[in-house]
Amino acid sequence: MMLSSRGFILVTTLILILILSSISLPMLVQASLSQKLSASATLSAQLKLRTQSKHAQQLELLQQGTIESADFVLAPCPAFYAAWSDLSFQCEWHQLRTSEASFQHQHSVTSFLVRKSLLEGGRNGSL
Amino acid sequence: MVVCRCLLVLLFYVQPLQADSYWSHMPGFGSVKLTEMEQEQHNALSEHLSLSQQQTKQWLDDLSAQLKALSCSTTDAQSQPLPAYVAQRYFVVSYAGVLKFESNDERDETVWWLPWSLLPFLSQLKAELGQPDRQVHQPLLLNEQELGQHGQFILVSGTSNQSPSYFALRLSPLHLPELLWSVSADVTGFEGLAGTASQPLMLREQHRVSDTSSLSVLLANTGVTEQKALVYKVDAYTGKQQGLLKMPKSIYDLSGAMTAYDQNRDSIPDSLIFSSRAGQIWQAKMENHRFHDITPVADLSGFQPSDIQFIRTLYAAVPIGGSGADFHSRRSQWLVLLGLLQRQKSIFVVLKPKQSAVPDVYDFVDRTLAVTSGLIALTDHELQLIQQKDGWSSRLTGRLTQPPIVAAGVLYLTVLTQDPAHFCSIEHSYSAFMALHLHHASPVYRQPLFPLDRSAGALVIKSNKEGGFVLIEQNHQQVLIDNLLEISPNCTYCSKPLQKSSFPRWQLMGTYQNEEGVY
Repeated sequence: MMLSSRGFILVTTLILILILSSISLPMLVQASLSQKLSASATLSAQLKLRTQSKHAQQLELLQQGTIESADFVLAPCPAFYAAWSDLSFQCEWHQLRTSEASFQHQHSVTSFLVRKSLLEGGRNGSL
Repeated sequence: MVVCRCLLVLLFYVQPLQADSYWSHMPGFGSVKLTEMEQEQHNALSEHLSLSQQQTKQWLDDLSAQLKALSCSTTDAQSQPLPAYVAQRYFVVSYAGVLKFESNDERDETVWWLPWSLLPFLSQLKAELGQPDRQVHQPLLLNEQELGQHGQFILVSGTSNQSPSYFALRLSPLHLPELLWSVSADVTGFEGLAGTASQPLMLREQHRVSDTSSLSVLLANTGVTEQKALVYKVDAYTGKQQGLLKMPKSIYDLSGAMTAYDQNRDSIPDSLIFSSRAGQIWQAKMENHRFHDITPVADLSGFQPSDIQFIRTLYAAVPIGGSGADFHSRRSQWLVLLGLLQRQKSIFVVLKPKQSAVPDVYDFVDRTLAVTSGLIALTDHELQLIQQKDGWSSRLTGRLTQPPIVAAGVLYLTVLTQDPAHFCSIEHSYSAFMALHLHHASPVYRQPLFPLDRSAGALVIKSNKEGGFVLIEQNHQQVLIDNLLEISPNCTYCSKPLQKSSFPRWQLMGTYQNEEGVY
């Protein structure tokens, strides 16, 4: 009788310990995971911000003519509200790509721009 | 002795003023100067004219007077400037095939090119020029950029319907014209050629495989009534036929105005827009050397035009309603600009082509300028109508002298009102110049109509010292507008001066981001 009640208490205690640990352990794991997650999110956001600000700078430099874009093609102009007869306008399509990397992560921003320039006098002597 | 010297001095002074030169291409002899012919050439000419030797000599002596009588100073307003590397200050005008190369400096000699086949009909050409219901189309000029060869210049022209033919001249230099090719109904493949009163159309094709480009010219067969070829496609250098557009039953009496455009915007023209004199507009698809799928674009016969002067296309962002400055309130689309002739008067139409229906006269909003009452406000209702319907039309008091020009959303038109009794006299005509808003045809400048002292020729835009732009007319170097305006989408009437410092302009079309990797 004595033996059986002692065994019962042991089993109950063990079960209680099991329940308690199964509640607390995931909480610990979750806490450490979320810490890791927030760190990586911060890193990613920083990288994103860095790439975007660099891209914005490069866009400005491209428009000032200080740097050249990766490649461009001469193509028909997009439609304008203030339209021009074909011969007097020239359009170049530029592609500007900025990419930044940290550890095993890479982020890139690509913009497509049209450079519109006016050919004075037109290609034909007329407009 | 003194008399002799006097005569010599006189000759010396008189010579440069009278030194007009007359050229033609004589079969078997090549380009000949009609005033400096050898006996054999003289014989050939008299045979061609069916005149005796003596009469031919008389004909040659009268040539200068004949051409003077042919000159039509109202047609001269259509003249086109030659590129500076061919001849400085020279302009070319075609009197139904007879070409006059004239300088605006009187000391320069005038050069005439008379197509051989037209020589017997010279006296009959004047009647053709004086027809108010027909457009006299000007030649096509191909300069060194288009030909891709330095210093080269080719002119392709149609002739009068008296003796229909198309011909190409190589003019480098101007004083030695050389006939490259000519086609008429006698040439194999062109048997159906019945009318050539048209401006040929240049077509450049890029070959993807060999990375070369070829230059072709489209020649319209105007005035056909039977079922024959409508448009011939020929090589620009040799005149060899490459393809032709066969006429379906419903199309007849083609006008000389046509244009090629690039519907899918891949830099290769893939469609041809052409019309009948009565005002039906069609579109045909072009592929390599074939034409197919003729579809109607619009039926403007309700305007009762006597001919079509010009067809041009323009790719623009057209307002479709909503707030003006918003990007989504506009739609990119092709516009077709048309100049319809109604005898002495004309109608200018801006058409928004649709896939679904063929618009007729009632689908256009009449935006004729009331010249007397100054600025007329555009009502919201009218603006809405223009956006919903197929475009606008504007009645002009005269005919256009040059193809319309669009600069910064402003349409520039030069109008010449001719006196029906003195059709060819510029003294009896009235010249004006108009600047209209592309999207609703309201005047952009304070003045809706600018009267001109002298008729306006080809227009050109140049920058001025103040950092803006001026519009110059090339024939008399008149400054038409000294500070060009640019329309702005902020409001219906908004415009601002066009600044040179605002070019080049950048437009951001799109941005995309890409992320890769793990932490």
